[in-house]
Amino acid sequence: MQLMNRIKRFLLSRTTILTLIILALGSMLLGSFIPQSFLLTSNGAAKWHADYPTLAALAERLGLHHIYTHPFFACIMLLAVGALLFSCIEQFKISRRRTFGEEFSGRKYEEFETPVDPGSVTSWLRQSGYISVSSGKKGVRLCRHPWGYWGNFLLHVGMLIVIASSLWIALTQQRGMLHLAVGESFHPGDQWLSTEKGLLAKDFVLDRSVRLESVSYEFWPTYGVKNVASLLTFQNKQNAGEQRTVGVNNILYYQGLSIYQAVDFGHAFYVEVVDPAGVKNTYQLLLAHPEKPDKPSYGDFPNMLGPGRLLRAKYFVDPEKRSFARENPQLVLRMDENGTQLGQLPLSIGGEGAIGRFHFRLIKVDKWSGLIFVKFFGIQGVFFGFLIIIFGSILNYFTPPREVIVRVLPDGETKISWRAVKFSEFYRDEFDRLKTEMTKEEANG
Amino acid sequence: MDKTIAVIVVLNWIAVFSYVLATVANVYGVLFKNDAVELRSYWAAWTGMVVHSAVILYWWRIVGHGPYMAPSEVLSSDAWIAICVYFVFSRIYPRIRSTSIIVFPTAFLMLALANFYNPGIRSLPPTFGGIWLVFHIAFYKIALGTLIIAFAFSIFFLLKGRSRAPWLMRLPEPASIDLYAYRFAGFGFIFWAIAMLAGSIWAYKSWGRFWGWDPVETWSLITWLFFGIYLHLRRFFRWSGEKAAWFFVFCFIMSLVSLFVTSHMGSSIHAEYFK
Repeated sequence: MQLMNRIKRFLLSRTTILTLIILALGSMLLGSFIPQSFLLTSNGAAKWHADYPTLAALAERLGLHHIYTHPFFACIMLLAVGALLFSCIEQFKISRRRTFGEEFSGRKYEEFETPVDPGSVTSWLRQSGYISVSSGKKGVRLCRHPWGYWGNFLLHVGMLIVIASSLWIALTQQRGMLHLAVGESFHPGDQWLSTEKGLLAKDFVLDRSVRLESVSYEFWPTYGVKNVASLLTFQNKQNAGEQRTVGVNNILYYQGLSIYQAVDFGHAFYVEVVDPAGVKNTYQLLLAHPEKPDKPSYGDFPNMLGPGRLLRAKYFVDPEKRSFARENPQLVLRMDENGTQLGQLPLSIGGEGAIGRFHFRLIKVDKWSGLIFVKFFGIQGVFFGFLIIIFGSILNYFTPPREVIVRVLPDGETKISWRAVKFSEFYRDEFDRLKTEMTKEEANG
Repeated sequence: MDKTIAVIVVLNWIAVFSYVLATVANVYGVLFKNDAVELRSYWAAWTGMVVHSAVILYWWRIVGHGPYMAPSEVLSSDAWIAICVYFVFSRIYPRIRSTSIIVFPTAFLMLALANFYNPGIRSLPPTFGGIWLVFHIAFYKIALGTLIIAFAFSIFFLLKGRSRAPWLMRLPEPASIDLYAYRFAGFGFIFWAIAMLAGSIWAYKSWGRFWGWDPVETWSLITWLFFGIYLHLRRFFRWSGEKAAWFFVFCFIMSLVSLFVTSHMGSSIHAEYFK
């Protein structure tokens, strides 16, 4: 029990709370200066290592490249949750006492005496927005915005809910990203383009196949992307198919999954390659849609045709480079071997040619799009926590309670005590008005 | 189109001119305690705001989206909201009127700077939609408006402690200035929190994650935590006066970095929207 009290005292200490905020802040500052591995591409990571070898080695040794999953950060969060939990309990007690208690210690009251009877004083106060919250031997206590006492409690409860829900999501979430070309299917167990999962989550495996039926996109007159949408077919084990559409900002909820349309899309080029040994293979080259009709989109495919060989591809949507409306994608292939360019080859559908000893034929072109599959629970908790935080902050800062205690003195005079729980200087006018009103008759003689 | 842009630029400069006039009259009115001139400064600011509002609405109609894509739109709407926030709060708390010395020049500088950017039409990325985006952007701008007022009070406090200039004596008492700085920092903290949370909901709806440790998100949270430390120090460690004012100035600079610098970081998902 004594240990529990010591833990509680430690976690509720103002210094502990401030230290925790500063430590969290310090971790985030470190995380924003040291590139985090989950935000870096493999090329980006290699560049960071090449540019700052000592710092990169040190960061890796100390685990600073994954600061948000570092045990140190987890400890800060754990202590923060503990502090918030105890704080919520304490603040609940304080708020209840302040709202319904008869009187409590704290900031000093402004006081004056008046011959006006207590009934008239309380009646005037009620008309001015004060509510009777308690009465007893020490007098009647009225309060303007008594709900303001609950602001801090709600603010901390909200933060607790958000942190707890976020932690739950971080531990249990499953997420997979894939690029699918039209007509292509993604089957249960297939490998994702990229995937993330929480510590307690299993590998993300879909329970049915997904096939991309079509991709549609629109552009603004300035060629910015206006919208992207994909038509998907979900096929279960009985081969029954269900079609659904997903678009940007139009989330598809299906069988416990949330499916998002990524803004990645473009053309998939199917190229048949015959290598010098006469072996024939068909490759799918996914290239992002160009940003402008007169600017090509590029893609590099290192080692696809063997070690030391780099196949480079570029394409225009419209060979005349005028518009995105006229789709007749033209592919240009270039091959480098050990850093030396072997040649380049423009290809239209059905077209063929050779670069060095490799023979290429463009079989077909389809559209492709990026899809994000997410499976997690707890987001409602996060958003509910947000709501509570906002509600608590508003109560805390916009409606500080103002209290008045009205009591009768032995000489028959009425004593009025007033105070604002916070920012009393702001509400000084209310006290002045109360005093003026209640001493008016006295002043008039 | 060139004609439309010319009209917009001319109207913007009229608004800038009105704000400059408001600043000059305001500073003169406050420094030399000329109430009539000070009052006229508010009329000039109102005139500027009316013209400025018309420009924003007209441009909104032309481009088909709110003022949050191009740097010129961002700066112009920041200036507009700073003036609006000032007028709204000065009606509720008349004692903040003197912060116009800082708010008016800030507004005209932002709007003038906006005029130097290319006002070309930026198309709206597909993820840029929905009410949460509107809340996200609007509340950051409102937060900036309230933080400018808190910044003005912090500067007043620091100046009052260093100079006995007559115009400074006409400002409220140091204790009162300190309290107003604290109060408006609190407002800024809340509006910043609402903006961040709305952004989180928007991100969830757009990308399926409510937090991604993106540089802009992270810096926004860092700034919010700095304001949290400021409020904690004031409330629980009884920080006040000069120490608190300097710390707020630091927090305010952090907020400017967060709003105007981090969005240019290439690795941020926000970056493409501010190019």
